[in-house]
Amino acid sequence: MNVGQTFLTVGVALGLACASAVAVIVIAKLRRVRVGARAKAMLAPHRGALIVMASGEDEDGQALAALCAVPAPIWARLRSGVVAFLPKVRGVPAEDLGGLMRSHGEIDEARRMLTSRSAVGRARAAYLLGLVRDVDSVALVVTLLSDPAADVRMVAARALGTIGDPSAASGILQALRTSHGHIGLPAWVAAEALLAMGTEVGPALELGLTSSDPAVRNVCAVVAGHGTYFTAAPQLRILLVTDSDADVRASAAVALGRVGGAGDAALLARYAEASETTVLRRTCAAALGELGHRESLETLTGLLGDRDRRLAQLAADSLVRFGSDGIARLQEAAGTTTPGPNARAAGSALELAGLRGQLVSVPGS
Amino acid sequence: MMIWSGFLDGLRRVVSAIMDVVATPVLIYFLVINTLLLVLMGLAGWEFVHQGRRKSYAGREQTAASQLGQGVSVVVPAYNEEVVIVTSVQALLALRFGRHEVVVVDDGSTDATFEVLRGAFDLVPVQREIPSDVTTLGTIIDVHVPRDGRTRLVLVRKENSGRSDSINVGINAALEPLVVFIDADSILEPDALISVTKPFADDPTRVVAAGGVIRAINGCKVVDGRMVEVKLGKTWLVRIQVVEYLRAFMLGRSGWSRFGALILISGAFGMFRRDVLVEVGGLDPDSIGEDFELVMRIHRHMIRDHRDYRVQFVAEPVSWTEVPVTAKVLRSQRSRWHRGLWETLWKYRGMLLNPRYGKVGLVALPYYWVFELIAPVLEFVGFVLVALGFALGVVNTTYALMFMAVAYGYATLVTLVAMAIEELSFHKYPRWHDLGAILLASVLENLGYRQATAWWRLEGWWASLRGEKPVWGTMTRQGFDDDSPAVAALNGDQAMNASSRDV
Amino acid sequence: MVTELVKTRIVVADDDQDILDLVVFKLTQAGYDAVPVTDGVAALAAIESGLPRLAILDVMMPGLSGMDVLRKVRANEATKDLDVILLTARARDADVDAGFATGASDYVIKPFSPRELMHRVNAVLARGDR
Repeated sequence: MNVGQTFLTVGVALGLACASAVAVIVIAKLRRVRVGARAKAMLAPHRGALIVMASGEDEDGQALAALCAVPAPIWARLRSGVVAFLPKVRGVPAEDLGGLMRSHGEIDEARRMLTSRSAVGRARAAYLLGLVRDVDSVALVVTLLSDPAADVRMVAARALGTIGDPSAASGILQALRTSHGHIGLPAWVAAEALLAMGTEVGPALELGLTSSDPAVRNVCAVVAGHGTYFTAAPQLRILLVTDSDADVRASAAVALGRVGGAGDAALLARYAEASETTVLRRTCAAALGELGHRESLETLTGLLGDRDRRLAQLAADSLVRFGSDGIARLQEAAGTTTPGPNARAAGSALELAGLRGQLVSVPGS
Repeated sequence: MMIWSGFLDGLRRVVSAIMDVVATPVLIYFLVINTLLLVLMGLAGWEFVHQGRRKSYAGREQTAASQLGQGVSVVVPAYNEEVVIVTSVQALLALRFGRHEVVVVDDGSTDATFEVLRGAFDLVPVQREIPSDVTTLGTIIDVHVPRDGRTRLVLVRKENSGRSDSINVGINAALEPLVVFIDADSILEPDALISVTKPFADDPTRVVAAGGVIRAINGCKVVDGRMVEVKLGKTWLVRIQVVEYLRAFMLGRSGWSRFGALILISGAFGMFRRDVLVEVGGLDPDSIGEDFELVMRIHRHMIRDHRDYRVQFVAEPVSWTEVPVTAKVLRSQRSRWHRGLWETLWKYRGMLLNPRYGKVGLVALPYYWVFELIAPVLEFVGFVLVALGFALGVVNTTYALMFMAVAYGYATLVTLVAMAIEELSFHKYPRWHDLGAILLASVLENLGYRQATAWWRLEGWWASLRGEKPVWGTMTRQGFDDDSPAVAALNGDQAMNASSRDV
Repeated sequence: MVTELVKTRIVVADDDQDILDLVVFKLTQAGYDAVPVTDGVAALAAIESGLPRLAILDVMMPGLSGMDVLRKVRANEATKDLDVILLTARARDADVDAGFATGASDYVIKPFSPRELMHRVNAVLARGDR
């Protein structure tokens, strides 16, 4: 084959490939435009009924009945619109919309899809079951927490949080474990899900605080604090003092700030002052402000001059939270004639507090 | 007459001799680079096309409302940005995210940047101490925050010392664990922070840096800092750049990220962990390709420290940025980029082909050396030689056509594949007219634009080799609410510290 | 003589078309004159020109957030007494605090009950009447 023929082959191949690419582009666009326009036309008459339902104005149930009776091809286009409304409303409208989905067999279909071969299919199914708060599917969705696809695990966790059944709590904590070098769940997803489940997750949390996996301990500490689980305080103290993982210790400190007792002021103070890691010191300084025990005033005032200026700032912010007592200390520090670091940190915090209107003494603060 | 034909003869012989040597290698070079681009696209394309399906269950609203994730500090270096800064900051504050702050660093602006900000946000001076975690040069003048004390906006004014140093000051002032640098003229997608923090949330111990897809904003209708309508620019120069961005930056980067050797994150939008930035010392104010240099420095630091880390690319549009509208500004931008590329690659030459540096040293760097750094030489020389040779009769038609096919035809195919992936995934350009213009621009790119940019890149490289002082480009801000082709450089002497970033 | 009932005007701002349609429908059914807008700047314009009795604002709107609109409304002499209900997914205490501190009359968290929203609208308007 001489050069000329080679060139011809190459040229033709290129030309065909380019033409195919252009064809793909044009066809994709055409399809999208046409499908989009057709879908819109089909749905227009039904949007009204959907709005009536979603706004809770469907007192006689006519809109619901009309939409339940919609034939399958139209429903296929309509369903995404209905699904879009589900996370936006609460109360009767949400129940009605859930009932609508059920009447079209979507919930049964979703339960089947939980074992689909496509990860997207599984994720969509879990998402839907969460949206309609299908308590009966909890056991099925829990199995998705160990799904090979990260996306699916995340959607499953969020769905379980929305459904709110506390029996799924231990499953979510299990899912946090790292397997094959991949983390099971982002910590904040697990934490949000657990917080949404309410106070009954307490026992699972306390168990999780003693888990061998640091990710589990970490999330449990975070949830204990945000959800104010006072019974977790003893275990949190142990974590703060003895845990091997720095993140866990920091989360325990934050949580103790919220649920700790009188004795914890001294504990937090110890870790704010000693030669601990920067992160832990800062966390403890902030936690002291959250805890709000009078004996911490001294510690915090002492930190105003620390070499770690961010720590000083946090200590000053914490003092503001004490109300008039803390503010008095700050004013004392700021008012000294020698402009040292203490004065700077104090002055800065007082300024900000002034802007926020926190300097006006509120009764009982 | 005799002298002329003698000259031509001599030229003919020279060109012929060179062609004997380089004829096949030139063809092979183009074949290889275009094939490699297709491979990179293959790695990324699948992910792009399917990302749309994930949106239906992504639960963005919930992510935005959550405060349990890591917070983000948005650092905005600003020099004489009075036209856009207020709109930009307003839009940044309105980003959908649970916990973020905006840190504007005024790099000694001589215009009304400070005044307009103060007026719009009711700023008052505060005593805040800015730590020196990263060494900075410019002296800080003062710090301002909004009078309500709650809006998470901080304005740090300092002496003029350049964009990099300003960003370093911003890093120091940042309070959140993640930091993202953006330019004042960029428009961010409302979900940008949600998108780019995802890798950090999914893998908090490993991911240290992440970038997203940057697109060209020229021609788009932007109202009050919001993207209202995506349109293609009106001039072919802009259109070709749009195509360039789609191909190289969108798919190239994504492919490298999947492979695990992403060494370049756009300076127009890069998110980093603050503690890592402090560890490596922030941006280098003396470097021209400072964003590239930062990522390379992070790679070297993490590898030497035997840390398990990742630099990730998010296959989603996050930011829109203004591209040069005139050839003059484009020229200075490209020459600067290439200079930055050269100087950084040279600085880290110890990593090249060094097995200690894994995929970065053994795959990414060699690729960049050959197909990014030396590429313009091969391209330009190839083009000149073939054109000259053809004119002189040294090169036969078949070879010339073959060259065109492999160099430009194949390149057009690569671009068209990129366009197809874009159409199947984000399809941001809804109008048929724009789609047609993009397709045409894909072809036109090879008829002059590529050759010109190759030459300008060589200019930059040469300037660096000769030790010339770098010249900062002047890109006059058009402001956001303008979709007409701009007449740039109205104030040609306005010494603007325009970004030197690689994109 | 026919007295025309002047409907109470309420501006509704949300970049989410579903929510916008829903709230506007609900308000219209209840006899209010609902003015929908899809972003912060349009909301400000509608408030300044239409002088409504109440504005329902989504917080997370791109470009100009609901909080910014609220701030500007409070800072403007002509509109500073406007009642504003914030409708938003931001549910943390800090967000609610910030909302009220900036001058919101009420704060409704998404997902919301449309019925409850109407109660609050009526209550806020009744408060303003006194």
